[in-house]
Amino acid sequence: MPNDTSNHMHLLIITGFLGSGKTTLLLKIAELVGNRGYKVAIMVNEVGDIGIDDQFMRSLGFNVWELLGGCICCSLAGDVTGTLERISSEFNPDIILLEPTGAADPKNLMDVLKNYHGPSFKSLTRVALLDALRLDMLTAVVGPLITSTINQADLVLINKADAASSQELAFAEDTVHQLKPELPVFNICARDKITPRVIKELLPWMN
Amino acid sequence: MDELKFEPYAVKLCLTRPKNSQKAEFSTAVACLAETVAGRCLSEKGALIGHIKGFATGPDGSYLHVSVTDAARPADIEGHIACRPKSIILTLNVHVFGVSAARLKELLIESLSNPEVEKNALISIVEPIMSHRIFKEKNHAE
Repeated sequence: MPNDTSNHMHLLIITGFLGSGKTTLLLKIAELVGNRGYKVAIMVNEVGDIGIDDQFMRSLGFNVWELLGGCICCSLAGDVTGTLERISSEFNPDIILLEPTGAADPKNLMDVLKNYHGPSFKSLTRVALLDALRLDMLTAVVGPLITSTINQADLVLINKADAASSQELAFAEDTVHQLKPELPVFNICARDKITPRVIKELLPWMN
Repeated sequence: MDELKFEPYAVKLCLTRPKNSQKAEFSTAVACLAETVAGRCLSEKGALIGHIKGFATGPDGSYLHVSVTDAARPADIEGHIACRPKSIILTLNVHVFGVSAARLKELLIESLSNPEVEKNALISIVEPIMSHRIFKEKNHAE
């Protein structure tokens, strides 16, 4: 049950290009986990000097640690490992939800996390969010970033599925399967309720 | 697109309710502003909208959140400033690739004069916080 005192946390990283719905999904997960009695910490990274998402999350009552004015995979790399260690020692949550900037290459973030020397994570899940409505265009323009996002994921959620055409959804699924055929892929609408099947993939440890 | 320049632009805006306008809504002004900025950005050669988002709170704790990722679609609005204050402060982040922060500021200023925006709020820049860092750090979108 919640708040294991062994100081081991679950870490869930939500990656995806700018505007793919990371914050919306993160808040859904935070609410879900919080309602089950687990202690939630949120880390959010924004490249701009003023954060929007952290203000939004705090207004909803969540505990948020923000990293602003750069990218946690490079200029703020030291900050992210330090913040993880601080959250662990000072707040001791059951789970940390980490949202890097959508401009970050997830591969670089995973390299940064190799320098994390705090308590080991009970689980580390990397969820990639793809914007079904824009993936075709984004693949053409920022292809390497999209490829890395998929390659670094344990699970892919194709978001905005409610508004996407069947062709757009098929393109998204094909894009993922061409890179990592074994990757679990689900269509979602992050604004809506997350299905039990997806919850099980995201949070297999949760009661 | 030869190189995807990325200069995040952040600004605080003061929105004031126009006099003698009972029907003016901050949410309409904010949505219209974000959509107008997105449209103007897309008119810039080589621009790619990442995310245009804004957030404001009311004195009663209510909030307003706006999000635009595509100039062809309406803005997503979440929340509502319920207590109808005379003014609010909106934080706006404009994350658009291929357009300099200085140019994003110009496009924002142009967008403020959209009649549909002015009908619902008089907007002034409170605090321009421009990030002139050119985002060329390793393996980012370029």
